[in-house]
Amino acid sequence: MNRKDIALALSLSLLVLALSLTISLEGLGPIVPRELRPLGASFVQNSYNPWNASLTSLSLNVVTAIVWDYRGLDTLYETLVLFASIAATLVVLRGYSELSGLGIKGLSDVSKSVTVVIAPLIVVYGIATAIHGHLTPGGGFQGGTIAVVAATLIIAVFSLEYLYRRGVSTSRLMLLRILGLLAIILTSLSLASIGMPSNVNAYILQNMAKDDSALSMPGVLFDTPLAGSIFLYNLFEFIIVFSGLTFAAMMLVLRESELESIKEAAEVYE
Amino acid sequence: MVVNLLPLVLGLTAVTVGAFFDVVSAIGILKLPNFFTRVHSVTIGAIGGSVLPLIGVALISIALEDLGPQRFYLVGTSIVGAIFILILAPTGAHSLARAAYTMCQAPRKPLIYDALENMKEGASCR
Repeated sequence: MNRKDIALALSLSLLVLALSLTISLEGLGPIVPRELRPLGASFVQNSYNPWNASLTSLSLNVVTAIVWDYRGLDTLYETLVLFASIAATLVVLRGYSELSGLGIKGLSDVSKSVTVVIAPLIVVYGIATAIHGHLTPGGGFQGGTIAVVAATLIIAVFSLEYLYRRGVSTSRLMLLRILGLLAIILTSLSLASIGMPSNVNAYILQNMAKDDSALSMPGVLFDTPLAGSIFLYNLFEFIIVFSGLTFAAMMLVLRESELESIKEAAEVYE
Repeated sequence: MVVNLLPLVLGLTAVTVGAFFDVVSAIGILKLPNFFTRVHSVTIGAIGGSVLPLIGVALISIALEDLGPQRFYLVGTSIVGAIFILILAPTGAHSLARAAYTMCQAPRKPLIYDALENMKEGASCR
């Protein structure tokens, strides 16, 4: 054991000591408040409350109820920010071409067969996290990012060319992304567009029926709470995040000969 | 009660044996001479020290009737987690060791006879 190891051990133990002292002396302040503030109390009381039909969202998960119902417009803009940032990747690398026949190698047979077993399970877990977003912790964004792990794993283990052969190209993923965003916008406008011709009062981003509006998204599927538009939003958000992040991962591992045509595209703009 | 005693004892035994494997693996990481043998000791920790205790936890939670029907969720999660680690940990170790071997990134010093070197072209590093 040399001097470096001793210094490392001492500094690590000092760090742990300092952290525990800070927390035990309440240096962070009271973490859990003793009383619920009125806003928090109203969220807790109303997010799943079938007896107060004008304020509930029928979502058992309060966080999802806030994210997709009470402040749904904010989340819509978050989705747009993700959309725009992925589009920026495309703009930077515009003019690339997808070439097949550069040679598939991939990792060993053991890794490949295990990936074949694991990748569908990861996708299923991601979908479950997304469409159970109103029942358990999770949601569309979380489910999408979980499912992207499967795509990244396939790129790493099987190579990019395997995805091309399976028909997963960047242009199709882009199309899927746009369709997902369109579906979210149409869902948010659906009740208002149903209500307008028949002269019934309805709102944009409306989920459950309100005091002055009788229209409502389906709240219950058989005996399971569906939370109306929250379920749909989570599903479409899953599609957007999954296709968008897979798109970004594919852009980042493009081979050198696929990027050569970028120069020509750049010269056109000069 | 006697019916519950068997899974409880089996489960506690599995957890204890798992703790033993964890200690062995930790000693191995500190003491073994090169990368490939240390990967071996890490997988001992992953299989003996994680899969076995998870199965033990599943058995223990079958025995604890006080937990109510919720305990079967615990059993299911533990078994599924154990199966996942059982599949994934050896694969990860395999990929690591294979990459380090073919790219010559790790010394193979205490190696006496290298059968792979004769089988594959370009596997020898000088």
